Amino acid sequence: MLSIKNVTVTYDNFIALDKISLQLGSNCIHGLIGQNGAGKTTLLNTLYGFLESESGNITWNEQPLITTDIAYLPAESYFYPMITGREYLELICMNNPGFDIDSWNNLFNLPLDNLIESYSSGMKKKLAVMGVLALDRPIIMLDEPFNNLDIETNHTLRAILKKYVANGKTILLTSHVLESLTAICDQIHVIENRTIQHSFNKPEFSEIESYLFKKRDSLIDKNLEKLTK
Amino acid sequence: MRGQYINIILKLRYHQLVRLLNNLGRLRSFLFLLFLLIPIVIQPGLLYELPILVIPILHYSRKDNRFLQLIGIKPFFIFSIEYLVICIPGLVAGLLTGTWWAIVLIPGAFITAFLPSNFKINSNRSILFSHYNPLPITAYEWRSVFRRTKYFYYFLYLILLIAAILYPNTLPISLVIVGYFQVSFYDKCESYQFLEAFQRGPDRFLWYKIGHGLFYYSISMIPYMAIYFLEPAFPLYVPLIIYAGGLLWVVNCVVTKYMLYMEGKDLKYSYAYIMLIVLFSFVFPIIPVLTASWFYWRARNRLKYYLYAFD
Repeated sequence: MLSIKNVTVTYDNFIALDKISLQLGSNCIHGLIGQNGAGKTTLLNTLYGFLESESGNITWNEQPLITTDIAYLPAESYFYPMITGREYLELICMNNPGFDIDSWNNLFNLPLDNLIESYSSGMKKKLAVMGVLALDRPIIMLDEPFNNLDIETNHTLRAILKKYVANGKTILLTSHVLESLTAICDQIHVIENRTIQHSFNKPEFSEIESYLFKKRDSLIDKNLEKLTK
Repeated sequence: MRGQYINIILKLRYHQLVRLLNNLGRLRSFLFLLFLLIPIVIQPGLLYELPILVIPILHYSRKDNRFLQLIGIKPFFIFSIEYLVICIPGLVAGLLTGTWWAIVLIPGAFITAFLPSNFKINSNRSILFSHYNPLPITAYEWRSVFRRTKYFYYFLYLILLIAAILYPNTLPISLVIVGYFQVSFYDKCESYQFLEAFQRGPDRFLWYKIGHGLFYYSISMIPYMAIYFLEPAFPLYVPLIIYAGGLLWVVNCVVTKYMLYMEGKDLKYSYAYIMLIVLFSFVFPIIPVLTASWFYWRARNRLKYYLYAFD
């Protein structure tokens, strides 16, 4: 169980996360949804330790969470220039020599011996996803993992994540596209105003849309009338 | 495990270098190495002076800090190994020629590796000049650097200015450092819609950018020049030559940026170009003039693809 209790993150007097509390059970895929700038990436960066929390605590199985517990895919991945996909994965596999690059690549179909510069943005995303899988850590955090992926890879990634969860991993995904989360998640958490406002279990997923858009719709109607006069 | 990391990282770096040279082609690679070797042969001291300039620039432009953390490698460890490797030729040359001070490269490499490699970007709150910025929006590259580096550039500028006031003999090196840092202002490419919004046509756009660069560079040089005139420590031509050289750097920076322009991307090799130009200009002062004209022509051709309206 990944437990986040009353975590507050501020930078330059700006409250980025406000007393956020969340329990993420194992064997579950958790989704995090919210507007741009709501704090999704900040939360992931805080969990990984890139950002320090001002208060609160984060534990994994009742022990303080450490970075080696987490495999994290940021929204924008970094690749060294002038290296091949295979070299990139070999560098990551230093921590997990058992990761069979070629067998995994059967699922992703990447030209691993080509330079990464020659990859399309979708191929780069696939490579970054493979890198995260190669780390083989108990918690997997993916920030906008489905962006740029083609339909087939989207499908493959979902199957992989489901398999990983069945093997006891905890997965946390973010997205600003609701459908991509409802298709795979067991629980979806709505982040709004820099805190978790609501959590939905699978049977309640149909209510998310109305929850998210209720306030928004009246605002849109009110403003559009003025703007389009 | 650490030994394996060193091995794999150094192997990667070697592959990167070989591929870079391969991409350049045999003739260009030969010229590149020749351009690098000639100044070193003429001034062997460059071998141990270069790392002092190269390592901080490399360190400051690194973007792999977070990536290394994500894959479980301590960035400090990798950075220090890489910097030590860069220092090896200088150390060997220093030891062979009896220049013992070259040994400071070793602690220098470790200290640099320990420093933060990028400045925290707080784009939404309390940035210096976020509400009042004396620079107009047309000087967006300068604004961007001031915001990215927070107080660093101001701090450096002031420190060098104070040093020049207290010790006028440091004036030339202060001018060189201030000028050199302005190279980093031109390492990010804007979107082409942004280019079009400013000017029409490659020639007008390039002259516009060069004019802006020269104007702000000259403004930043005024206090240094004033110090010289108030307390002349050198013959008149020394600061004037450095100032003129700085103007050429700025022109080279601007044209190199647009010669290598890739929409919305960071430039990977512009530092290398500028470094070579600077290095060579100490030996053959005509080089920056030639490169400025040649690169201007190439920048103009490159921009033609992005700016459809011709002059």
